[in-house]
Amino acid sequence: MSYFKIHDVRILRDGLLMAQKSAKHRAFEKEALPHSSLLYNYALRMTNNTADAEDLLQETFLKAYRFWDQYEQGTNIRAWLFRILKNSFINRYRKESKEPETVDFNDVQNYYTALKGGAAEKEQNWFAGLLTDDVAKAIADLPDDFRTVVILCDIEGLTYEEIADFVSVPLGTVRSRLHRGRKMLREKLVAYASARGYVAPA
Amino acid sequence: MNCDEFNERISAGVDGKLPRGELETLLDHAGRCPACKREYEAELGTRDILRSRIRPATVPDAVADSIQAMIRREDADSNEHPAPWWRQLFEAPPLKPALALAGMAVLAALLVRVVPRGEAGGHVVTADVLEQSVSNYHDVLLGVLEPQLVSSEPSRVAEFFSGKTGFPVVVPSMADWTLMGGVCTTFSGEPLAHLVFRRSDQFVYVYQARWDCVRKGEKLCLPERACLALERMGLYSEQLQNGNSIVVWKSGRALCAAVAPVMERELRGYILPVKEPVAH
Repeated sequence: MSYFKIHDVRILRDGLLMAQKSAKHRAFEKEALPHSSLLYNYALRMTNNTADAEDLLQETFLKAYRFWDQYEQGTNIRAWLFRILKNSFINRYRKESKEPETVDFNDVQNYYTALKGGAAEKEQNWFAGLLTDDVAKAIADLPDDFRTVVILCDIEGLTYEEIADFVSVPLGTVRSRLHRGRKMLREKLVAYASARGYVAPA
Repeated sequence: MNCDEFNERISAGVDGKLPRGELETLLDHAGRCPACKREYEAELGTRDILRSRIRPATVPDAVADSIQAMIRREDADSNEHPAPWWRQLFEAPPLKPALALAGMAVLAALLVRVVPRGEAGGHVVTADVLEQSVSNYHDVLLGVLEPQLVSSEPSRVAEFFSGKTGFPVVVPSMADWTLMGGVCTTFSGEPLAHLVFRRSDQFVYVYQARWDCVRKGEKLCLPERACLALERMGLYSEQLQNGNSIVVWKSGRALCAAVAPVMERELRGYILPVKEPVAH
């Protein structure tokens, strides 16, 4: 017992677990599991629901583990895992997906009209009134292709190049989807802000 | 630049992903076109609100744990990885602390050891005898390196290796450590012998290869410091992290390396109880 310094119980527990792991398990742990945060955040923003995101994450890792021998060493593990997650998401939610909530175009018009005379202060104001939930909902309501790039860029902090690799589209498409995605998002946010009375109708 | 071209580049411009020249062109256009200027500011504002309001979430511990459990179940179901052989032999309560210790040693080793160059089926592929030995020691603890022969009888184990290795395998008597068994493998066609000893909850692993092969540095090799020590004193030893140590020595035509969870001095004592190196 004297050969090891036990820092805390967690190390002991991890040590116990580690001793029973297979080589495949250890490889998977080293290569795949460190990316769970990236996958979880994507799942969370796609489903806008922690329980669903957790299920999706587990399903993704289960599939990845079963098909581990198909992962080509040296290729982008993040992109590989991401595609498994994305496919799982599509299979699971496409059937039950509702029509995306539409934005009341009048609200948007109102906002722009209000802003026209406008100062930057007004920007600050309506931003400040929005809740994190509003933003999360606005993201979740974007069409899949657009929110995917918005999530990967603005929440996950991936480079354009990596996003292009993840979703298998050219760099130019990443740029344009990002622009359109943000624009749609903004319109939704304006609508929410307007509904809450933060944007004075013209 | 027209408004369509502006729109194609706006996100990259906002994110600072445009080359300088292109960014200047983009901003020039915004300076002349009020609609595009608003668009640019709107994009910037939206991006900032996204980044400030949505903080990356961390995976809950319970979820991380359940993923680990799930993988374990998968392994159990696939049945490709039976319990480590020494666990099957000694499935007794006193072994519990052994698991903890072994596990911690491995955990610590994973944290501090340089990642080996390439891996195949859990076995490290490196020509360095020291690295192979340490790695194999951990594989023994993890049950990856399983015995072909389980026996505590040194003569039986020696007999098992005869004709398989091309060099006489040495079965050292390791004081109060009990012989558990052995396995024969090859590395780049070069035969290797592996022995495992046990004392209560700890294990000693002994690696053996053809000395001629290691000396020439053909398929197997040793760091220069070890070669020099072997030539001068017939023995080389090193204190490893976490109280583990390794001793390398020559015996006949075999090169042996022992890795154990004991201090260097103690391990040297087992290997060469009498023949301590003589100072020159």
